[in-house]
Amino acid sequence: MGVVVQGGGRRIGHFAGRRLFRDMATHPTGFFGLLIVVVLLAIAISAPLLAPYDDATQDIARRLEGPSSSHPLGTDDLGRDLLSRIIIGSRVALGVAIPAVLGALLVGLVLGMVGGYLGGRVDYVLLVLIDTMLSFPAVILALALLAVLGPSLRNVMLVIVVSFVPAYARVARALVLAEKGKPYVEAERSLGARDWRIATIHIMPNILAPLLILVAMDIPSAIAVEAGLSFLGLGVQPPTPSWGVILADGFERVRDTPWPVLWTGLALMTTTLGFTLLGEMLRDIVDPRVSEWRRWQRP
Amino acid sequence: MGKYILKRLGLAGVVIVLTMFLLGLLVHLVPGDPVKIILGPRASESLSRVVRAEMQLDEPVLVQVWSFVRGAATGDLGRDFVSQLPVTSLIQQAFPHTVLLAVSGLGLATLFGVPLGVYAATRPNSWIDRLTAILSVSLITVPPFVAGVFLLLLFAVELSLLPAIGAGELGNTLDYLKHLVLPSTALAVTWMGYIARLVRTSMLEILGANYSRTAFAFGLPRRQIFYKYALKNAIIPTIAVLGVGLGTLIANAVFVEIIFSRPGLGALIVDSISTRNYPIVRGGILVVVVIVVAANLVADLSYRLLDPRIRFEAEGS
Amino acid sequence: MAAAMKRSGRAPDASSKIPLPHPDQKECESLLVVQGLDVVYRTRELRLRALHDVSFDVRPGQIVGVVGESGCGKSTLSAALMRLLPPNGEITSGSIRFQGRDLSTLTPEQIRQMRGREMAMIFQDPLTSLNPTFTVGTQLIDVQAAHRQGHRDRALLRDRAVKMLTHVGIPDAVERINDYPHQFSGGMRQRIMIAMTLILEPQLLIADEPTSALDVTLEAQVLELLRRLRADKGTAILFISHDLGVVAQLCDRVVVMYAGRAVEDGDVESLFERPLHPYTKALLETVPSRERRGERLATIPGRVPSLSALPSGCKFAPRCSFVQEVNRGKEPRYLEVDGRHVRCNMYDPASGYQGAGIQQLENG
Repeated sequence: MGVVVQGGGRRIGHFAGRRLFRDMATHPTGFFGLLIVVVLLAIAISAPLLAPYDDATQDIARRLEGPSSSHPLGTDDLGRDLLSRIIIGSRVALGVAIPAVLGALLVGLVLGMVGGYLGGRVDYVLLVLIDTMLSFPAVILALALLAVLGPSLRNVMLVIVVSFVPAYARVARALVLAEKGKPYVEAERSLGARDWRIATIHIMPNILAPLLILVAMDIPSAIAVEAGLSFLGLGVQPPTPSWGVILADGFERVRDTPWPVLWTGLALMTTTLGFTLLGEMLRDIVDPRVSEWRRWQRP
Repeated sequence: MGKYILKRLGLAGVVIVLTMFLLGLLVHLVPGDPVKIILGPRASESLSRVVRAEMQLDEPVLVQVWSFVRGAATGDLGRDFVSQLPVTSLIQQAFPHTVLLAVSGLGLATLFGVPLGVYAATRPNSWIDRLTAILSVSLITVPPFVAGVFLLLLFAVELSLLPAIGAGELGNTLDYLKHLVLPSTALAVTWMGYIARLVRTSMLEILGANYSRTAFAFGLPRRQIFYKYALKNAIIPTIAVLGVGLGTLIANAVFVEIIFSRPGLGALIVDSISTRNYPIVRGGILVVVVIVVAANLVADLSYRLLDPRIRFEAEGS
Repeated sequence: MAAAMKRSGRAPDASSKIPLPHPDQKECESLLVVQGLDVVYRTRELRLRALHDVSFDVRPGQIVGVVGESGCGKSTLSAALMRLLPPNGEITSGSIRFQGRDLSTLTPEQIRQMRGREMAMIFQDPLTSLNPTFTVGTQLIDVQAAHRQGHRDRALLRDRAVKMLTHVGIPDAVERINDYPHQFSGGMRQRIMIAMTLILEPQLLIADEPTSALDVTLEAQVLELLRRLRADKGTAILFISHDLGVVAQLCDRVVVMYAGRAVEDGDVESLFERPLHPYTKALLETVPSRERRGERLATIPGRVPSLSALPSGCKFAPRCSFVQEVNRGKEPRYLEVDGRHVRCNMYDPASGYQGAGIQQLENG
């Protein structure tokens, strides 16, 4: 047959480092996303050192000011430095979103594997539960739970985990079902390997890649959910500088000064953009689809 | 096909009933005294008594849940704590605003997203295409409440072009529409990006398919191939995706309502959470879920009706 | 060899050849003339020559077969003829003249008008070649309307469509014309494709492996339809296939392709009885026959080279049993030998091949 065929569907274990970089180089937007994410992580980690001021220092005399030499992004309604608050806010954003999504991955993975591997009635019940949960929009679910749990940072994390688990469970289940039928599983069984061993040591590594891509795509959603809930006053409570909180404060006084809203909004947008681009690039690498005019002839 | 419709209706029904049970149970799923959970740690005696009575907290759990479910099924969602008004009527007042907002948001998104996607597909890899791609991604990644806030900032505050608060008078169509513009645009922003991208991808895939090759090979005019043959095929997966995203759309309506101080279900629910007016929260969420499930159902069925391969089961060969 | 093929029922049978409708037509008025055609595909890393120096012609009313294994460039050839190469494909050299006109001089609108009406094509996979969301009737009518047949009277076009469907053997055409493609079987869908072609009455029909996806009975019916097409309307057919037996039954002339090159052509009887090119000879030997029952199936040693790693010189050299050193250096020219053409140094005294000249290959 003719041309060298570009293969898809490589698994994590088979990544050749060189190939990875070459793929990334042909995906400039994804690389841009990666850059943003890396910078963001750096900021979040080094936040206390980076921020010129403390997130709580008030300077009432200089409140609601625009950008200036001492306050590059301006000040909020209590005279707190916006730059510092936003920098520290990145910690909140990532500190809530990343563990929450990973938690959802963990729980969803276990549930999906249990259902997919065991099959039968367990699987059916799981499926029904998952589909029901998925009929709830994430935010609505969040509202319901927060109504009874009360608003707090910890509860927001919990709520995010609960909202995202069904999606991971469903994907994990589908992947396990696909893997279950493959020859190597049968081979392992015939060698006498026990079920849980097959599931954890053999199947799980093979289904991680698509799930991790889902993680990359869900982190921006989680950040947005947390910011949104905090904006509504139902999430992180002030004075903790979650971006949602800063946005809400700024929104209250938007007629006086647009800066808090502007900077926070930009921070949110950039963050979600970075993660989304990164996630898309990862998805294209692991599962390339022909998205251009498909060739009718294969040479 | 008919069998499928029934099955789907059944499934929808099950989900709604299950939701009713879950909502009824909700307070009891969390450890602690239900009254304290609902009202917070500093609850007055009199209010506690009201809550106890309204929610029948002295009865066994199952009775409570059942009475809620039974009530919900017949349209009685209880009374709210603060003003003792029937929750159902409060919701009925708020409901139309939310629906109008959601529908116009979706409409706007479709109106701009579809042509954008088609245009990009007909000129793959042109600068228009790349611009559309960048635009779509940017639009997708803007959280709707950020979009809302920015829009408000720009148009209402800085430029004072459009109103920032309220829904306007229902009687006065123009006024109502004026108040609808910004909120529905905020909602539409994210979706425009999704739709444009989806339409573009579907169209490209379709244009590369064998039957499009046939169309070109028989000399059909380009216009017809793009706008009649390819587009009809592309609409189908678009509707499917839209259906799935309707839930998110409605959830985002919540934010937009708050930002623009619009009356609606979202505002109702969020305010009630702050004021700890639990029956409204519970009832409101139930209604939202019903709307979402119904919308999903409609989207699912209509996409199946549109695709002839599904509507007319294939005869054997 | 040919005798064996005759007995297995897959031989060129003189009685099945229907004489050309206008036997006094001038021999040199070819309908399609392909001259030195080169097609290149550009991928991100490579530039692949899918076709090189392909030349042949098709006369009005002739059925010309193009044979070769997968990857020899048959499909690229048909795409190039219809100007339907994908965006990364390009004709880099040579010419295609259809009805005397050089296709590269035509405007896109002229090409569009040509497609279907003068030069039409049917494809290998009938299951995916029709648009699933429109009825068969709509597609048949639109195809006619696109070529201004019937002056916008859609009822008239519908009538013609119904008649054509009946003609190709679709029962209850009047009702079935309102059905969707997925409601027909594969064989019927292929007939619908043929109906779509017939309705426009093109001068040249390119059939790209039209029967490869069908079972033998359906194949026979489709072949019969094609024969009738040539007999009744004088349509020339370019029949692309990998199936030597079918080609032997149907075609007047045959072009053999290998690795993007035309390696031999000739009228079907001579080619099958006295193949000139070692590849053709080897190919014919791989066809199983009742004569040699119990013997091992013959194969050609080696593999078709990948387009990205073609050997220098003669492309068949690595697998050729008559190979000599000189073949690895220079690619053989496409020469006329005995009224046919062949691309092999054995027949080119100027190539340096020891013992070159007109030869008879040993018959197996």
